[in-house]
Amino acid sequence: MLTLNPGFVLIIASFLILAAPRFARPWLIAAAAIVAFTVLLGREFGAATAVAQMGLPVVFLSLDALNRIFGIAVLITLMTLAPYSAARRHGVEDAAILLLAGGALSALFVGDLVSFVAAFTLAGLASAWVVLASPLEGSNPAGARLLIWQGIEGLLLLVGVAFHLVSNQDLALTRLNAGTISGAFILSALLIRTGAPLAHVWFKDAVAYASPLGAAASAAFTTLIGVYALARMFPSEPALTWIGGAMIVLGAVYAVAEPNLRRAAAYAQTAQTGVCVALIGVGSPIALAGAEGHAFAVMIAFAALQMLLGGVVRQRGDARMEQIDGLAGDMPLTAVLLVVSGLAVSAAPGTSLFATQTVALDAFGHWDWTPLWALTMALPAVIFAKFVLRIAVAAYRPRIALAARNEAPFVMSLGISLALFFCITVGLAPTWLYDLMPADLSFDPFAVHNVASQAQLLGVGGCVYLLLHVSAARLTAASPARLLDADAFYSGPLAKVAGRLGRWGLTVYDTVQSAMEGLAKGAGRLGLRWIAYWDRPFSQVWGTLAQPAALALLLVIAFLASA
Amino acid sequence: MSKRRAKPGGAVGPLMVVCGAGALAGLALDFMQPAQPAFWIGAAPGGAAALGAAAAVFAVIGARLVAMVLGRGKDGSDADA
Repeated sequence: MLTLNPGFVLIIASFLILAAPRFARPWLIAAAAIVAFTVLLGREFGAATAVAQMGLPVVFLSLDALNRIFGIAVLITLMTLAPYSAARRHGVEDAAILLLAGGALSALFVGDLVSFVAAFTLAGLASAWVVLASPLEGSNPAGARLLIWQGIEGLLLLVGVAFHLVSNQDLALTRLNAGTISGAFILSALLIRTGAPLAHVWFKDAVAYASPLGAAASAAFTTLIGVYALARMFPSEPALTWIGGAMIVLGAVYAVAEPNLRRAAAYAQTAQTGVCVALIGVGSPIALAGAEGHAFAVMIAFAALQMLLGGVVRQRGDARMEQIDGLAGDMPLTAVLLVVSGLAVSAAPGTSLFATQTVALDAFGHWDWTPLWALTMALPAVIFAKFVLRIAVAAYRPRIALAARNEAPFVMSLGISLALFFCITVGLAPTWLYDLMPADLSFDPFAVHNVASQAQLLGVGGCVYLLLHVSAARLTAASPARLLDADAFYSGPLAKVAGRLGRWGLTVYDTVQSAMEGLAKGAGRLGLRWIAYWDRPFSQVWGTLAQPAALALLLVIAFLASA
Repeated sequence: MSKRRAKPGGAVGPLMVVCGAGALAGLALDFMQPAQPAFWIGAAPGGAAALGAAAAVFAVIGARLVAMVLGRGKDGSDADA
């Protein structure tokens, strides 16, 4: 039986792709995904034999239902990215994306904390590489900002694992206690990766400055691996319900107001990721199954949306609401796919997110979790307003002049269609997904109550939104260029304070340096004078007396030492 | 903040019809179901419609409020921090 971690296949392919000719690269990505799939599905559940490295047990492969469902989602998404990548020539970015997917997949399947930190950090660094490889303006500073976030995250993980090793002498990748110092460090690191409030800014930043392909890869292979790690190490952690709820609110608030649609999609994904985090916090078997299924559906649906918006960026230069205006005129297929993708991310009945959201609502269906139930229920209506109605109204706005066809390349549309195909087929036949979940679910998402609730939510929400939008459109305020978020604090006031502190520190350093230099010079001069003084023994009375005295002292010491 | 006239667009009518049909079908199916105890009022028949309406109001008013309070710069290219 082959005991290779499926992620290693992608990591090896990331090196090979650097030497591959352009036409072979998409095929190599697809082939790597298929080989990794074969490795994943060809193995029974359980851990491979541990090997010892520097006295620590290292388990390169440990397969169970929890990591299998995430692994399948990663590989399906990678397969949809393969044809999409054929639209441009960028071998370095292809390698970065394969390394990101490989690191993420390896992190899913390793069975010990040290290997997990290594693979998780590799994926984090590769995500920064993806942004740095982007040809878009401003990608280098964005990549540097992401590297700082990943550095902080890696440091927290390392410190947490070190404390854990000292206190437990056990490195198994299993449930941890957030109340211990090691657990707190590891939880903080995972929350950064998941995009918890205040740390959520790295995600929208990375997505906005990555290339079209890079944004889709970042959407799929970064935050949701954090969700897996939380489900593995911190199930039933009460703090996660609050953090998840805050992520839903924060994501929804920014998603509706953000004029840049790639950023808005990242915020909407943060909100849907918040649902997963809150479910992990609830921790019941159905909630954990719901979290895993929801992460699966979110990964593919938002990758598809980012791919579509990437097509708009490629053809129109940007993905702000202004670029969507009249989109159906020159990019009719993209406009249709955008609406379908909008339905997929807003959990319309018949899509995979609807199938998993019904499980999530069932898990929250208790008086104690009423706020989370209400937030999870209302979130699709907010996303529907932004990504279906607002986009459809703008895209199908009549234009006076007929525009020439400017559709995205066929291979891009192929990748997008493939991703949407998975969203819809899993949505129409969700039993396949439910069978992958760790808990035994006999769940019918198409029960009349579920479909009726979602239909009225989106229907009534849509009617109200359209009425308000049409009446409010008469006096539409100009949309802002950007929205202030937590990063405005660390790049604004905090940066100023840090700059002042730095300047003050440099001044103090200079002053201390000058004082030390003066002191050293003074001491040197004194030393020279002292040497010169002793160099002329007969010129001074004291010198004449001191020499026999020193000689006598030396003789006394020698005598005492020999006695 | 500058103000301008914006046309709502040609898709509003069809979208309204689709949303209206969905709303009516959903509400009809929900109220035709045999009554079951709900753990709170939002889960009762018609609760989802109320939540949807609230979410839509938030999507319009909330978006404008957030843009007013946290927005920087005018239409045009992004200038990130």
